Amino acid sequence: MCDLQFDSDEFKSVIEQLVPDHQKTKVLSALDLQNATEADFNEMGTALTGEQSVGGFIFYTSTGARSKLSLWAAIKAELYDLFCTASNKYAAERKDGVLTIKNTVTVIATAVAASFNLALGVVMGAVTLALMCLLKIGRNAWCSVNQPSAVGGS
Amino acid sequence: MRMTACNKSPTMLFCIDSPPCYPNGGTTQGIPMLRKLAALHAPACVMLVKQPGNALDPIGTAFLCHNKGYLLTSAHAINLTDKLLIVLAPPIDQFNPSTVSGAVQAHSVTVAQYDATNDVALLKLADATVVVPPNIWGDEDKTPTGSSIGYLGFPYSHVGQHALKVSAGVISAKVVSSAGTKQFQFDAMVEAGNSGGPLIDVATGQIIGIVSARFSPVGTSGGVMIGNHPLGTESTISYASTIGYGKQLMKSEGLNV
Repeated sequence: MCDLQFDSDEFKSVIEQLVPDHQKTKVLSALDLQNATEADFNEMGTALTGEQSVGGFIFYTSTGARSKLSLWAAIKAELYDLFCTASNKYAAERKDGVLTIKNTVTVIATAVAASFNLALGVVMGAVTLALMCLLKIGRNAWCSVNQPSAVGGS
Repeated sequence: MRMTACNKSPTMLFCIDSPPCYPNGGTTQGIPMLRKLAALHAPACVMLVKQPGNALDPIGTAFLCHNKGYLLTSAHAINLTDKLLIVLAPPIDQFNPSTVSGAVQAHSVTVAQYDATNDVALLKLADATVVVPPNIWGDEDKTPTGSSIGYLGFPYSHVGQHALKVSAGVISAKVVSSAGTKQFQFDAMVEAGNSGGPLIDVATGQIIGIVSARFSPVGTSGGVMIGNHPLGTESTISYASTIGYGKQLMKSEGLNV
């Protein structure tokens, strides 16, 4: 199993290199969150993926309903596959010493972007946040909370 | 009344044939008339649709913004997990069917850049080249409150109104949203389906914003619905994200703006 650890400096470098300019400030701010919970990261992640409902008095004038598929959930499912299972899909990445924060973000972003026909940059910020959450909380705790049965099968 | 995608010419090359619309030898400077604004920008406006199965479901409006096949629209109109396509509008100065049904030419697009906070998204056409008029970008800081504006879009496209609609109003205020986004507030009622269309300064013919929302005096949660239409949400206070956020996405994509 991989032994990737949270490293604030490496995350800063990844954000600088991979995350689009308009998302950098938000993703960087997550590094400074003290005692952040997964709910905090879920809120920030779904803000980046456009999955938060905005209430109040602003009535958006598109016609589409929210999709039942969640990009944020898809990102977390991909991380779960890599860090919490022994699936063949990520067997090579799990070898000791192979994974860094940068190539984990790239691998997961590539998989998710390909699934939904998106450009890589669209998902980089959210993937970085999701990985930050996993490493801050700790792999065992994160995997326990995000078991498919624990999150409604998503 | 349902539209489906026609599989002909999946890599069709199409152009925005703009020169005949230009005054002053190909610049947008000095366009005083809404009719000229419509002639200039209508060919670039497309209906944005998603394809959950075989049918096409209209979700909003988008407009061509770069010769390499890019379009701008509203981020909130898009679910990033949906398959997205665009449908071109027929020439605006001929009499066209108000409702399109059956197979239509639809072109796949991918999401290239996405800024949910400021409600803009950049889409990319696959294997297509377009010709976008030069000098179409306005400057939100140089557009005064009180300016006459026009906007284009496909209101109520989800219930069969498929004509590209040209509308007008004035900039009634410049505001900052609760998310910190600079917006034009304008005096007109935008409808479901208008999101993603261009907001244009009539005096210059240049795009200054991307239509996104209207103020709802009864809020947006709960309320009475007739069919799928929420009652009491109408107002003539509408909003558009300023075009600077769209230009920023184009720069992030490495495009010259």
